[in-house]
Amino acid sequence: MSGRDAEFYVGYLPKAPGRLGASLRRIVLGLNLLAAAVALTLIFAQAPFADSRFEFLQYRDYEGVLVRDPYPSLLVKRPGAMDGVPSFARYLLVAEGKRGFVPGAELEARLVRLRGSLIHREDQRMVEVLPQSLTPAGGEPLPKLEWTGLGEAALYGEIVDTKCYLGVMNPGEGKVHRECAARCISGGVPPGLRVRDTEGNSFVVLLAGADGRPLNREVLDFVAEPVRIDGKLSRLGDTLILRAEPSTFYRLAGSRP
Amino acid sequence: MSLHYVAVGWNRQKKIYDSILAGSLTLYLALFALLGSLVHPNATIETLLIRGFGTAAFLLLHVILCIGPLARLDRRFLPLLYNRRHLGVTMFLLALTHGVFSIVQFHAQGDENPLASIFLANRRYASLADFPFQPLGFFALLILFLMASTSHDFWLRNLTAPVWKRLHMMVYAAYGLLVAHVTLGALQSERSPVLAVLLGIGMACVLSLHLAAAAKERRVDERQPATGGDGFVEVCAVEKIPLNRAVTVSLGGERVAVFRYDGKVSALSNVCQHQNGPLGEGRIVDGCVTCPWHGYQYLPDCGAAPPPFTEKVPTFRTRVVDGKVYVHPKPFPAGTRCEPARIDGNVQEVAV
Repeated sequence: MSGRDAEFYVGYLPKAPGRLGASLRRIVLGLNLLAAAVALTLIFAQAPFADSRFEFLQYRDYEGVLVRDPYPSLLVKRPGAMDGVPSFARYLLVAEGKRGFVPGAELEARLVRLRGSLIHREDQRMVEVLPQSLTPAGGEPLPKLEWTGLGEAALYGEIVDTKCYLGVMNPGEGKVHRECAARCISGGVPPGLRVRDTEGNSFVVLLAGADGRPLNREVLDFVAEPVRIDGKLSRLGDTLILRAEPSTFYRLAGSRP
Repeated sequence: MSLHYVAVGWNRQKKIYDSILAGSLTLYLALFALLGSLVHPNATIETLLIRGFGTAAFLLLHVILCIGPLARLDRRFLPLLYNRRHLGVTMFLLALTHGVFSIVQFHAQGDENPLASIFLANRRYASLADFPFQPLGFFALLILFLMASTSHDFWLRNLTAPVWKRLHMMVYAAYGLLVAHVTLGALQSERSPVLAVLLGIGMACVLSLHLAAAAKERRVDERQPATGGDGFVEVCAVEKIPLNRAVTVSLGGERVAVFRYDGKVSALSNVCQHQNGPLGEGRIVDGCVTCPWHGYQYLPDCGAAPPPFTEKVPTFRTRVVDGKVYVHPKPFPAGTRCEPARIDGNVQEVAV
């Protein structure tokens, strides 16, 4: 009988036999090196994370015009004007959790103040509004700002919930995020179509019904899948919106756009 | 071995085992979260923790599944098997942390019950590519919970070893669900083929080791010795059985461990009453047949655990004639004393 085979391990005895113990130490070392190698491989093999931010538990004060066309937003005036027309930065407004923000109709088009946490991805912004922080800032309602039609368009992309995509979660898109996106959109978070331009840059186009109504539960079946949407594209300031009926959304098979 | 139930029958080896396990997992999670946040500064800590705990659990499950066949193929791995249940419970806790983090992150604070949302948020059950992967992980977690909660010897004793064993074979169903969970989830969202390659390597290891261990056992089962006129079956020459060890033979479809010790030969069922460990791969320690898995002991001539322990295994009649060992394939009831066969003359020891 060889030396190693002569040894026999009994777990409840105080000590493992000498040569078996040495083998065991090598095995444990090997398993730890394997675990470290797996961890390193997984760390470096992960897809890059987008440069998006959620200023969780950090609150700022905002002042601007509240609009609900079609999703609650705060239009904050930028310094200066272009061609005599005031320029606004749009901050989509959402509530805490997976919920949309529902401001009172009486505040429509009025100057308001609110407090909340900034969510942003490149130049697209959103504020998670602190409960009870929305207050009127005085003054008369402003004239309604109109969207500028850009014509018919067929856009390819993935329907995302704007809150996660703009920074609350990272990644906030793709199949792993599908359930969360569906939950957020169902709860009132504005849905957007994540599209890429010819240079590969991603941005979000808001989605609304053909009649301009907010779309939430109506798009749940298409969330986080490659889709083509034919509709009417419009712009207001730095925001694009695509108006189309969900019944005409076209699910694309194959690779994700 | 223990006579009374305690939460954990701690001993020095278990403490060392668990300390190494805790240290290794801490290192893994720290490496994943800290280095991950340096390499990916835009990643949120929640995402890194969800991924860290999930991958740690899945990696540990691979180790757990490989320990069994590795221990059958090479006895140097037997010490890893001794405390494997602690690995299993730890793996469940890692998976539970991954699951709870994910449910809170992806389903809480919405307009649906978070548990219901797991099944309702994505309803594309008819599509393979878009099939909801989270319910697969949920069901795997349920199985792991069932196993972790019944891992104690209390359940093993009350459910009986065969039932307990079958229950814990559900780990393979959990593994299948988790492979699908990863394939239909993370692999579809990540671009690097490295992740698919890693999963493939893991599955290949689990599968090939099980096939190799099964082939080794099949060789034992295929050696069907001929039955003599008096019912006794020739097993092997005496010197083929190493001193204080056993040769395992399949008799009438049942594996029998034939031990040589103190100039005698005794035969017992190969199946330990504790967790159905292979007694034939054990040895005689302090005059008792000792199971290689957890050290449960039986007196070789009667198949009963030494008092005050109560485990019993069936015994078989043995005979040694002209240097050859014979065993009668009809078992005696568990714990029945059976006179060992005496070996006349010297036995030439052989290396194994």
